[in-house]
Amino acid sequence: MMQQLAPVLVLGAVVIGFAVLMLSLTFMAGPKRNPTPEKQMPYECGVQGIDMRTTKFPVKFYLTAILFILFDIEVIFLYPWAIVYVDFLKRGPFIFIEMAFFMVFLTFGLFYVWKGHALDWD
Amino acid sequence: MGNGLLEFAINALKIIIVFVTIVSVVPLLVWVERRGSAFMQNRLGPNRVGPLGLLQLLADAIKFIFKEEFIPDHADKVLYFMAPGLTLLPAALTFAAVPFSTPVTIGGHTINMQIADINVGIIYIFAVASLAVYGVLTAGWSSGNKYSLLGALRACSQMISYEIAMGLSLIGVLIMYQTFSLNEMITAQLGSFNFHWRGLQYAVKYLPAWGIFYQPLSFILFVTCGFAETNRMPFDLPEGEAELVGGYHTEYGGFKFNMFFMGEYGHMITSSALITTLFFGGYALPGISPEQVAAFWLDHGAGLAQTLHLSVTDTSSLMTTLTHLLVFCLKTGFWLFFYVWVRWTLPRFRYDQLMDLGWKTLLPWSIANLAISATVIFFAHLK
Amino acid sequence: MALTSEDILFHAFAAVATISAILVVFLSNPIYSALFLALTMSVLSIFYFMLNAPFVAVAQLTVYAGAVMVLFIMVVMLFDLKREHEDVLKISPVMIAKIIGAALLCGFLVGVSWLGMSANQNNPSTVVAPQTMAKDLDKTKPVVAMADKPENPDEDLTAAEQNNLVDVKGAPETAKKDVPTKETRLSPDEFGSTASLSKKLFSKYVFAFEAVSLLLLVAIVGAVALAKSRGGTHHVAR
Repeated sequence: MMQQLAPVLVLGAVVIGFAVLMLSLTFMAGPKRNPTPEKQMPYECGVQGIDMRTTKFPVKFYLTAILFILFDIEVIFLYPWAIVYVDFLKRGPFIFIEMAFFMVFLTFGLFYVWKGHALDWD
Repeated sequence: MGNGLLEFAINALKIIIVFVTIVSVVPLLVWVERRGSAFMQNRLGPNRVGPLGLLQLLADAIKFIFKEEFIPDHADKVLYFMAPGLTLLPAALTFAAVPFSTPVTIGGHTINMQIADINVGIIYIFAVASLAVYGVLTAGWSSGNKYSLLGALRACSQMISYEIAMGLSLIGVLIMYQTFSLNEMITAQLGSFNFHWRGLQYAVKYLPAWGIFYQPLSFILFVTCGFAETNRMPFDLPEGEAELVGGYHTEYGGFKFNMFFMGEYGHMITSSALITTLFFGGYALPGISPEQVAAFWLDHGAGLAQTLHLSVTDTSSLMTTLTHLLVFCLKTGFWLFFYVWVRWTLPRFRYDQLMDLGWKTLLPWSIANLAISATVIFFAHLK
Repeated sequence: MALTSEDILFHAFAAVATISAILVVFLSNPIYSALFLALTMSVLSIFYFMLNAPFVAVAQLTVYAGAVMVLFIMVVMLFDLKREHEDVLKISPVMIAKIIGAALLCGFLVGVSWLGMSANQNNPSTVVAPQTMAKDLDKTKPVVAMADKPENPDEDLTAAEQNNLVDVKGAPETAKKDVPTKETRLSPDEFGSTASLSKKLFSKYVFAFEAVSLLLLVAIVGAVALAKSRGGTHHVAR
């Protein structure tokens, strides 16, 4: 397994090295840092920023993330099923039935989320 | 990575060459985008710098290096510098599992035209692609700008919503190929379209056994999700200039800004490469297997072998690899052009339309595709 | 014992994982903590890869590093949590007591596992060779599962025991259910492959598999219910 992993790690090292190289090149080649108040302000189309750090956060981001986790786990279970499906069909319909149950439960979950207005206005 | 030092060095060199190629293809892609969009909009694109404006992007890249480094007031300095690198890393790592040609054998050494032949290839690609949200989130947060943060959160929500549909649309394809490894998928797409129905084998001779003929709905879903994952039009609201200025990369300038786009185009390249590998036979020619190409070059490669001072088998292997590399580049290049084409044709989706499409249209259709595929194959294997 | 490159890589990544896990706890900026936790999860997936479990590695990367940690980071950003105002690591009697307690617990766990493993090695008869017939099982000795499954399962048996390998039909009813028979024993190539994982998951552990789907359904319903109670879902009567 290391034979498959090692090139990926080398590639990761190459990418990180490239990023560091480019940033240091910019650091050396660019003009001296000259921070003026106008440059340092957060960009808001040119007008003065109103500091609204205490905005109420929208819960829908949190809901989307949680539903993503759950459906992602479902997809992870589907991956090993897909590659042995045709092979297992030789032994009978059991593999089809058990995945049918799995998908029915999760499709019901999707249906519930849809009708429960958890996917609205996002 | 090979047993001896020589093999290790060859493989390391291969990795560096592939990475440098990707980094160089990105400016070429941007040139295609700018000229292509110009022609679609009935104007000229960049045509001053270099022939046909090809060196425009080189000039831009050099300009980026010489820009001043500024750090906004409320920025988190460490994360601000790390975010572009964090975007580039998954984009490059996903390309590791993609095979772009047949292995070449020169002088007894076999070099795989693939950075890493991972046996769980396609799900490795999806796993690393799902790490792309970190770059976006870190960039948005570390800018110290609440609009950047909002843009980053919206981009993140968009990307994760479409990842589910993308994974599910792939299940139909996986049922057909029964493997995760991309090399085996390409091998499975050789020959002509054939299927098994109730004990009998049927074949359609003039159609190649490409994935798109087995799973057309899966193809449509996958391409749509690919657009959304790479934040390309019509899904590029998080970067849309009318809405949030630059979204999560508003506060970035200079080469860091360039690295975000390298990450985005890198994802585009991997996405196009995946489309060709999964649905269009990868590096293989339709109807002609790599062995036949190798045999062709064995027969006709004697003259070339003499000029290159290599043995005939080595030359045949080299030319087979180059042929397949050309095929791969043409196919992937077409899909990259398709990305550009769609960007400048369709208007942008509104954010709620975008999320509705992901959860309420693509996800149910993916599940339907999976159900239909599984049922059809179940009946096909009944005796 | 020669230090292979795999050993060096393992120790390097182990150091990275340990240090980032410690930093998760000791950094005062919540975003940094969350990002280091994501790094720990990613390095764990590399370990799974090294242990010949590629599917688990990919699942770890997709679910943990790609979904759960994204949720954590999004929540931290949305809440706009401020840095902790006091030092997390300040030397006080309470902190010293906590560190000593943690060290004692670690020492206890390490000691127990070391004792367990050395008992295995010193007294091999407590390890039941799976091919032993039921009537030979000594009911008074504890049945301990083999710690390391060798690549060739027949290697560690003596010649006499190898001759006693039983087929499925010959095994008595009271033999251990998990006896690896000649049919189900894996070849070294298949060890850790996703196909062999699927073979077990969808035949022997199918109940757990279906239970997982119900568990996910419960989690979905719970998430929606929680969000609704806080007024999250914008339900407008149409």
